[in-house]
Amino acid sequence: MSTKPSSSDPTSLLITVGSTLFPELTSAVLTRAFARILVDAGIKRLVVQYGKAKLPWELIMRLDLAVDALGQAERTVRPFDSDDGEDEREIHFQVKRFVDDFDGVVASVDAVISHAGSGSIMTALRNGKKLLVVPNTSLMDNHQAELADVLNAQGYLTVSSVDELYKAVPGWLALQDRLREFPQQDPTIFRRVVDEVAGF
Amino acid sequence: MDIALLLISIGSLPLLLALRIYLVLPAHSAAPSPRRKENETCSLGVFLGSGGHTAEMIALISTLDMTRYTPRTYVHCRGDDMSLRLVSAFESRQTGDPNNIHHLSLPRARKVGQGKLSTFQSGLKTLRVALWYTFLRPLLKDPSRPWVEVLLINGPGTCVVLVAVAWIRRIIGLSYTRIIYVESFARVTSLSLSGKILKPFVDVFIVQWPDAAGKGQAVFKTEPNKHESGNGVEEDKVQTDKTNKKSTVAMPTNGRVRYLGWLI
Repeated sequence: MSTKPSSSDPTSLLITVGSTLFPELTSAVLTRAFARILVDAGIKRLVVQYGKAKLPWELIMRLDLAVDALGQAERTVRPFDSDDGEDEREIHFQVKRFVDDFDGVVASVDAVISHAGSGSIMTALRNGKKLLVVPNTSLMDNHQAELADVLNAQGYLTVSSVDELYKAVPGWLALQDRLREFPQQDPTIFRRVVDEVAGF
Repeated sequence: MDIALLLISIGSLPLLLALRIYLVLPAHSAAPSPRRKENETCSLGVFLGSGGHTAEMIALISTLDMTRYTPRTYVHCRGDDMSLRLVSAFESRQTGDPNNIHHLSLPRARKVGQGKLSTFQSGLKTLRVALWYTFLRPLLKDPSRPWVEVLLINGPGTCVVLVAVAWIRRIIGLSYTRIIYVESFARVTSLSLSGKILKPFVDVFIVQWPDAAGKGQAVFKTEPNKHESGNGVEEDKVQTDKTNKKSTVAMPTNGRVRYLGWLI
């Protein structure tokens, strides 16, 4: 497991909302416009784990995605392709409702855009991935945004919003190794507490 | 008249119960944990609260020496297959007798956003199941031992019921389950609802950000440990005896919130 942020320019990206419903994010990223931004930024492979959201109809129609019973689909698309255009640059789209091996998927990409769930944040940072967090502002008790903010202030990740996403992503992807390395788990702390309580 | 006397006696029962609960709160009665030999074992209960709660809990228990903590009982909420999958994957990496691994499925006490009345009703259902499996049945089997000796919880709602049932043995003076509550890493400046409710009733309450329980509420591992005494507040230093490896975590902090850094 690598702990350093990747130094080369990212070519693969995971967008994840965990087990939540966050249609504002998933709908914003599952568009041709966003695919163009990503292709311009050098991304060749995109994995979108969209959780409880419905896939936007526009995406299914325009990208001609065939979604299977598990809510998975993949396809290589040319987002700039038009009747008169000649731009044949491609991006491979993979959409999944949920992933079983989240750690493996995170490890397989260069960068992660995530909701503010602590699990997703930890997995991305512990795998040494460049991380952009988009808190779900529609949550009633939005303590998750606090976690993203404090980790942003400490230099571990970048925070953005759904509205700013299109503008923020190219700059974030181009960031070079400026983020702080996230500490690995200290296994002794909790063990000591439990051993003490148990009387060992 | 006798009736009046009877009414007064009955009326005073809740007061006596409240007094008893007050007296056995971890903040007042800090009975030291029973000492165990190196080769002894300790039964462990682990609550899996679903989603991020379960993920954090598995990260926590992955640091334990599981040869010590056996048998183990995992409590999950009915229908939460993800937690079952995660814990099965975790257990498949452990050595030891699979017969010592138990699962208890509880009806969910409160869904996020559920109203007060319906929370009360579903909570009663959870309470019935928890009463039988974590209090009565273990009591009939062996009255001298609690359901589990140590219980680990980190929210949400349903674990409140487990704590309530575990408190029965404490109130009537039997050997009881010691409870450790770990507030989520996601809680930076405020406690979760279950954290707020359970803080006075658990033996150890840990936060992962210094101000999660409010500014100045947490006892730091490296700072003076404030200890309430009968005559007021006195300061005593956390032991720093280098020969005693366990000294960095001064025990017990008697109902105080502890911050020990990130645990997951």
